[in-house]
Amino acid sequence: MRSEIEKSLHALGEKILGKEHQLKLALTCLLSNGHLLIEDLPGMGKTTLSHALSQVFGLQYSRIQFTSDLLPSDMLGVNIFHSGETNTDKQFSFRHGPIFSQVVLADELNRASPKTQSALLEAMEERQVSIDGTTHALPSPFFVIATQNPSSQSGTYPLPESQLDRFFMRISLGYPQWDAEKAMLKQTNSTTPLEQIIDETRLKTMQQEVNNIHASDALIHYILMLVNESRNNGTYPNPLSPRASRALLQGAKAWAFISNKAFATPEDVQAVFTAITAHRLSSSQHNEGATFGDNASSIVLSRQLLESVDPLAA
Amino acid sequence: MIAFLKRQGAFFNPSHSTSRPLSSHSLMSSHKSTSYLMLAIAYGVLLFTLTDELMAWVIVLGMCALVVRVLVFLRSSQLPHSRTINLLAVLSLFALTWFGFSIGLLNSMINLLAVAFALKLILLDSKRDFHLLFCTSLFLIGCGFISALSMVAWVGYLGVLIFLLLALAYYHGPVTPFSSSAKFVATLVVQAIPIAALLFLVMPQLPPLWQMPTSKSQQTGLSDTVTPGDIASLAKSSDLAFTATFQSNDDIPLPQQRYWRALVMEDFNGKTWSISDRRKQAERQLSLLQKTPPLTQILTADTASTTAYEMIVEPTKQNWLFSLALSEPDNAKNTIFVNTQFDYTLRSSTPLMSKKSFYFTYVPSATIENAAGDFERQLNSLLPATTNEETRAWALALKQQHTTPTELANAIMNYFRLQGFTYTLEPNAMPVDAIDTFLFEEKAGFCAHYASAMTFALRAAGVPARMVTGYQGGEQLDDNVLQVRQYDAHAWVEALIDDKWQRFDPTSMVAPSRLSFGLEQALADFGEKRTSGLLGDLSEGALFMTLQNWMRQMDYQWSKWILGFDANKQKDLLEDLLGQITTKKMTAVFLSSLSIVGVILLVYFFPIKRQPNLPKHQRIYRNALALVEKRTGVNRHHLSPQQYLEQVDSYLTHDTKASLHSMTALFNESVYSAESDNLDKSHLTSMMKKHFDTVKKSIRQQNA
Repeated sequence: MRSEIEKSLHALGEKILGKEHQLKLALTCLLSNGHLLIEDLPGMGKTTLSHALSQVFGLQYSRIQFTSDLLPSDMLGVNIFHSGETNTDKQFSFRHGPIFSQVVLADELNRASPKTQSALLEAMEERQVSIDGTTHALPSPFFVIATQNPSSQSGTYPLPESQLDRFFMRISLGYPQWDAEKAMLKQTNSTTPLEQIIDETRLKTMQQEVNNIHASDALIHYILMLVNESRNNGTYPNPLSPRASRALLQGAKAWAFISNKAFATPEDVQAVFTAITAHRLSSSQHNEGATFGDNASSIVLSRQLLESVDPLAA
Repeated sequence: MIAFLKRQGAFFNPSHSTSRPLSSHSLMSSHKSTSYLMLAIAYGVLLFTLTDELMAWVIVLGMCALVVRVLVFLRSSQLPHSRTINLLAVLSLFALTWFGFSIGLLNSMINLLAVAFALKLILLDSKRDFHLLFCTSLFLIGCGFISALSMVAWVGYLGVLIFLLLALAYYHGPVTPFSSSAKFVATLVVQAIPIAALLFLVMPQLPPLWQMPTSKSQQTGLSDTVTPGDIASLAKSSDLAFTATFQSNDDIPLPQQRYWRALVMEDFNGKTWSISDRRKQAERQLSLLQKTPPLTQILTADTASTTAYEMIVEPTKQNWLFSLALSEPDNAKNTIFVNTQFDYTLRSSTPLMSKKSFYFTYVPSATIENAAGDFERQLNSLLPATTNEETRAWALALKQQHTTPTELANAIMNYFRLQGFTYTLEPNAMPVDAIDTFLFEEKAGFCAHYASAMTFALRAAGVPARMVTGYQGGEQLDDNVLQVRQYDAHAWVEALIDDKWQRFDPTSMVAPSRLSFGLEQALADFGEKRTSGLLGDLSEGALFMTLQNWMRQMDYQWSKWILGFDANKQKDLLEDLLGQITTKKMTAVFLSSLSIVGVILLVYFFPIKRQPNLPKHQRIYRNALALVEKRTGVNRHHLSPQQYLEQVDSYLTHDTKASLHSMTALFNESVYSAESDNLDKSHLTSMMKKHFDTVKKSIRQQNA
């Protein structure tokens, strides 16, 4: 593993104990320039994770708490009229909303109304915001970490499949192990911020390096076989989209980069596969009454898909 | 076949069987609709090959289904409502029952199959239905083979079969492009051919377990009634009637002697000659009395000048046969038993539904005896009451001048020769007193006119006579092969003189070249052509003749070697290969061929990972993994090599692990790295081999 990556993972590990795999996935997502969805029960460390990520990379951070009465303008920003004395002072100026940050934590995304949700998702996809005919570019890198409560909880608007697809990855942290939780409880200085390990420009070059990781035809065939299996086998209610196959390739490259390899292999695809495909494969029926169990069932679907293709057959 | 089953296995996996109906057609992926269309096209082609068996409305229904499929493919229009199809199905069922009685059981079933296929094709929208229709089309191909056995049909159906397999492969193999589906099907066919050939050569040729129900469809060739003029229309057809193979060129009789006797017509109603009902009755009674058919006795008496020959007869859908007059069937060799009747005609025990070989012995010296005594004499003297008075009077007058029956018959023949009769395919219609008109006014006709008139005149003069139909002539295809076509159909006269039936051919008086040089020449003598129009002119071109000759040769060889490969030929072949046939040897040959097929199947089924196209170093690597699987008993399944090695880590010794890890690194390098194309393959192979030997050795030690 690359030393700088290892160092940052170690630093993150001090905040989120015993979740190395999830941390590595989150890093992969960041390096792939994708957005992360964390689905978990309250109090599992979703916010801590996103905060820690922004600290380690020295990124500007903001948090939007989504509620059912949050309006798009609360998130994106508004044009405000200045009633100055001179004519030149009297004009509209744009006040940036909290979305204009490099790391945005969209907390409890599924509590917001569909209108607000889609405003966020549009910004995520286009990396820019249009208000009153003016386009405002979002900062770069732009990384959204959305958290979602299991939708069985009251007062939630489940995200439709089309919007779930825009999240590069979905992870859930889950309950910590006995030892990890014990260590967490014994921690005294849990509020001290993490020191910055990688800076913004380094992050950008790393994202570029990820793109340059070699993916051979054999690897691409493996990904194609996986996505086609989901399309042709009737078991999967929501087959994988081309966006998903691109995400798989990008994720595999990023994983290979983290593991300090010059080329991606099927292991890299397999490592990121569940995180990238599970939320895309789950059916809408599952989402409506979704509980944690259904989250698990989409993971089962994803595993089943992974197990139906032999990487050496590609 | 094997590769197909292997591939199928994945799709019949029960865990995947919960397929869900597609909600809308726009979602139907293109490879699916393409393979549906391919299936529909194959069905359309099959319909056209089955035009003889299918009723017109069934073909129309099938074409409608094809059109629906094409529309769905082109515009992804909505499928018709299943209620409409159900209504159509009920209507079709009524229609089938209604027509079923007139077309016979076999054809009704073929029609039923085609109708069901058409209706299902319209609604086709799921994997299960696709498989069902695929299997049904195989049955339709089977139905096609009931009547069509020529090489063209065989090649055509093979083409359709390959096309169907392609549709199936494309339906299931969409991961890969169309060309690889084609490659897959090609492998499949190439694998199947040697197995099929082996089974064809050595499987015991068992007689069919059931009898084909008699078909009532259109017969071909000669008919069992003759109205003068019928044979003329047959003369337009150049379809093959049969092929006769003799042992050598010397055995072929001279053109004038090539009378292929088929049917004896003894009943005349003033217009049409037919096989007498009384004759049929008599034959039944005689066979009940178990009298020996007459020819058998002749054959046993005189064996010196006989000639054995084989006939490959095109299907007539009738059970009468023809042979050189006179021939004795060689029933020891025939697959279908052939009876000789008391009028010396031949009947096969089942109707001829497909091309068949028959063996005969030609006895040139044999004469046709009056086998039924007064019965035959009486039967062949009957005339319808008051017709053709002029002819009767003329015959009686002739009788006054010529006292013996032979002289009388010759006088009639001479009348044809001397009175300016002409030979034509298209005589004028003679609706009333046909024979009078023919003999004294028109004086132009075809063989059946002459035969009919002469038979009538003989009977009127009190000489028992009858009309015989069959073929006369034949073209020499090879040194020892004769081909007889429908236009060689002929009719002649037999008169009972001195208690023996003697042959008279009045046509030979008018057109002598008919016997020696065939119909074309005879017609040319009278300034006529057998076929008219463009096709007729074309058929005289040299290139066309060569092509036609070549096609005939091919078809003959096909019939002789493939269709004619029966139990006898099989026995001969095995005797050639193995010497004297004994039960033990037969069992051994049969069992060993079965086990060869079995072994081939096993080879394909057991080492499931057969990757013939892989580079050598990759194959070595896979072998190493297979060794580990065998040693640990843990299957790799979908795991990548790295993960697999981690999983089985505890089972392996340190040496094995080290070598395997190096191999994995090499493998990853060669398959996934950017430099994979630039690596030194032979070096890679030798490295792999080295590690493989280590793995093999240490695993063997571990086993010990």
